[in-house]
Amino acid sequence: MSLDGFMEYGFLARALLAGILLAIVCGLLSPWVVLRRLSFAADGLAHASIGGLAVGLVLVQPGASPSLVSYFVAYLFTCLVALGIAFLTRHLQSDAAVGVCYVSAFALGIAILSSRNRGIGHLEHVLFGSLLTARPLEILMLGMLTVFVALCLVLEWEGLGAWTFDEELAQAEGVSTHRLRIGLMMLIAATVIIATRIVGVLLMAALLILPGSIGCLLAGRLWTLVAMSTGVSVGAAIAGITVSNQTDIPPGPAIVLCAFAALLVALASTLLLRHFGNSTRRLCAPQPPSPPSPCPKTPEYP
Amino acid sequence: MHQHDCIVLNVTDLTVHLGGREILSGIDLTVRSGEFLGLIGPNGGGKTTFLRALLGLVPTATGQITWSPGECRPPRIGYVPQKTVTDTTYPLTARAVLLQGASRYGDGPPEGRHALQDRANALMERVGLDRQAGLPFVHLSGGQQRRLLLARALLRTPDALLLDEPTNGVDVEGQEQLCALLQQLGVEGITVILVSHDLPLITSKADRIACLNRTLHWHGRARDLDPTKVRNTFANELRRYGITQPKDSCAEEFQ
Repeated sequence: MSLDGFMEYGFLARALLAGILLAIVCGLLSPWVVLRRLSFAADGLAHASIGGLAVGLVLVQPGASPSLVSYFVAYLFTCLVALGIAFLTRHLQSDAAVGVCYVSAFALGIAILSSRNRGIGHLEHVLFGSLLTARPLEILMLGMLTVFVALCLVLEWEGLGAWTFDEELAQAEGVSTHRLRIGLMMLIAATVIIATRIVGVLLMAALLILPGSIGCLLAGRLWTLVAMSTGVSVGAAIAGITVSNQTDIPPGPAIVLCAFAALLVALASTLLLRHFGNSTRRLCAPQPPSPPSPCPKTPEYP
Repeated sequence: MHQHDCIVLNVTDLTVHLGGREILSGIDLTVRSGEFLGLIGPNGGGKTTFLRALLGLVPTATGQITWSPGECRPPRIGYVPQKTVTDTTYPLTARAVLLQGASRYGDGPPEGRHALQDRANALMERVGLDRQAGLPFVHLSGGQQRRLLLARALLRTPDALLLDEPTNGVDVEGQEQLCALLQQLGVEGITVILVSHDLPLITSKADRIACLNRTLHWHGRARDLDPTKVRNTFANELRRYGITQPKDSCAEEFQ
């Protein structure tokens, strides 16, 4: 379907806009999630958000669709889980801390949804989402989140860069890595809460991991990595929604499969470059200067 | 004024506890501007903890660490860690890692992009890595990585430089080049505090030596190094290897 076709139907236009905004947010956050090895934490927060959504949807403001208040309550709950992970990481292995928090919040969510007769149907909606049900409220929140995330990255760019390289060295250089970690987790929490209706919590983690992983395969500088991650993420969103529109595949899985296809292409390119060319070369890395010639060239005489 | 006249670091009665254990106890130390201080001691003697305490990365139980006493401006400190916790798939190039060091968390005015790039190029050349600038950081050898971290620390135009065993895994020529560079930095007024296990190298290059094993066993000019004090510092280490009566000649080699 052409762009005009999308614009003919309001829900399709909203789906496209929501998908692109979500892709930008995830593309901007993904490199930091991957470089700081927070993929499991991001996945855990996505699952934990079920607990928050259950509290918001069922206990605080019951209704067919989540309202702004429900979203806010769900966000607060997920932030509490993120803080719990940060606290437990000081006493347990970091992956165990994530595991403990997310399964507990996940279990709480299922318990609440089941006990209030919002069982399987509602749970399925939360788990898998539906891009076509995106409302102006979600688009507005995603738009604001996109601007906020971009602003945070601009303001904290140097600190984030130093933090991804080595935490202790960054601390020695004056970077508050604790603040950055908490801030990143809060942004991830906000993203997963808003995106739940769109792609569902199960596929949310893929959008936070795949774009950054592709960027890491191809880029040699931080800004190219973030640009590539965002570009791939937006491309996958547009391609996924288009594929979904032409077939019976829901938009969420279609977007994730498109991003996975991009990862395979990036991996194949990297392996081919290693095989046929310089093993250390990256597609977007500045190349080292060529070594000086051992002796000066003899001038050519006519 | 002689460059060594100004005190840049004053440590008084420093005690550090980690995990309920006393790691450092009652350390008093003064370091002057432009001085090259070599810090020696056995494994587990608290050398790295001492550097981390100087950087404010570990809490101190008692005592005081004062950088640039009497001066309004806090000093800029460059740090070269023993190793970095970097994943083997870390994608950024050596140049990108170097430029990360140009943090805005310093106190100087913001530097123009071109000026920064020029300085980065000059530093890459100074540490002999100008031809490796475009390679991924993880593809550099251990010695090259340490030299790059030194360049990263120098990009911050530090007043003091703390280096944790930068000569580990570096060949003899590389060690000589590194020490020559550090001595040159001393001439330029940068204070250098270097932790190393390489006693002959450090005692021949440093202005002063501090022997640290939980506490400061000896501290003085390198040429006044007392072999007995060195033996006391390393007593546990020597006992571990069954050496109870070390020969004086071994210690004298340090001088």
